[in-house]
Amino acid sequence: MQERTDEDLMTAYAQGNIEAFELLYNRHRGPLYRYVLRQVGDPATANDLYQGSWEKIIKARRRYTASAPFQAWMFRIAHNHVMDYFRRVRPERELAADHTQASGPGPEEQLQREKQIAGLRDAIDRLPADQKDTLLLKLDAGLDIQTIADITGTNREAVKSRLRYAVAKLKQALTEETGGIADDH
Amino acid sequence: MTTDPRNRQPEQAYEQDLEALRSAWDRLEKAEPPDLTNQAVLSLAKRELEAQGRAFRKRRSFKWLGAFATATIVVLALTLTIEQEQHSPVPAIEEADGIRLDRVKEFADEAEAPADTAAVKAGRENLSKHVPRQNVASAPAAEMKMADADALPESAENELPGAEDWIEQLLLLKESGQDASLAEELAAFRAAYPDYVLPPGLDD
Repeated sequence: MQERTDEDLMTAYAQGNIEAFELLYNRHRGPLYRYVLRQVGDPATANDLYQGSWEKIIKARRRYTASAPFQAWMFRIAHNHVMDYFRRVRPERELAADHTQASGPGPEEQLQREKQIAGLRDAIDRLPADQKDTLLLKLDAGLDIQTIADITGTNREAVKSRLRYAVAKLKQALTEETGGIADDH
Repeated sequence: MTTDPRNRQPEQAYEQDLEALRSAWDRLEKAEPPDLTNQAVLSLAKRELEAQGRAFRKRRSFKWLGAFATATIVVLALTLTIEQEQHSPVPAIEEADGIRLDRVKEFADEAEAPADTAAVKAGRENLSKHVPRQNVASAPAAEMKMADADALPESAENELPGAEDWIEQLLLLKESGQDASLAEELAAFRAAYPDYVLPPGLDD
């Protein structure tokens, strides 16, 4: 049997099918949770924001139209929810990141795995908010450039730029700590 | 390969870096939401659907109530219409006739009692002098015709309907379109009250 699309499931849920929502939830809970957790770092806060994001998704079910990709719609809601949180708890200046930072040597070939994971996590935490958000939408949610641009309210070039800076900073951080990013390919 | 984006690193190099990062990313722990959170979200989703169903049912029940109220109003309106028809002028005339029938019965009772006394006969002659027999007979109602005119007591003249009452009955007959009865009653009235000026509508 053909697997039902996210859009079908969300439409079915809006029409009263709870099983459709359970399927949809199980499909997306991991990526969405990790996106929120890596945004804020703190599990308790991440849990609140994650739950709040789903609450918004559930309450907005009647407004959802199947013509819009569900995943992008879901991450847009979560993104806005997280950004609202940052606006409440962080000074405004921290949200405006310095895009001109970060330069350094190229990646090395081998990384020690444990150090790399820990270093990567720390490096993510140190990224400016907009770069971190863009990178998480790219790597955790697997969204394309245009969708990320739509979600974050920017354009494609800005998204590409943020991704480049984010990738460069992570490489730099990991190189300093462990000697580079291990490339499995 | 340089990592400085200001140096416009080639697209290919950037893609390689991104892929390498993605590989490292995949090795990060796959954090999952706690079970309690999952349950909370799923139960919220369920509650929302239940609330949605309740709201829908509530709206539907109000629709049914509206239809019921409309039906009730229609039934009440029909009942009132039927009631009004039952109390329309025609039944009123019947009621009026009923009054006269009561009077006829009174006449009949009186006639049975002192029937053939000399006083009655004298009275009957006296009545004949003042009111033609056929007029007296036709004056009250149809049933009066069925009664034996001979049985009329001497007080029959006094028992004629008053002119005003009679006129009222005549008007009712006219309103209800009982022209034959009206003509008959009108002739009787004219005979009984020849000098009475008929009201407009009856004098033509």
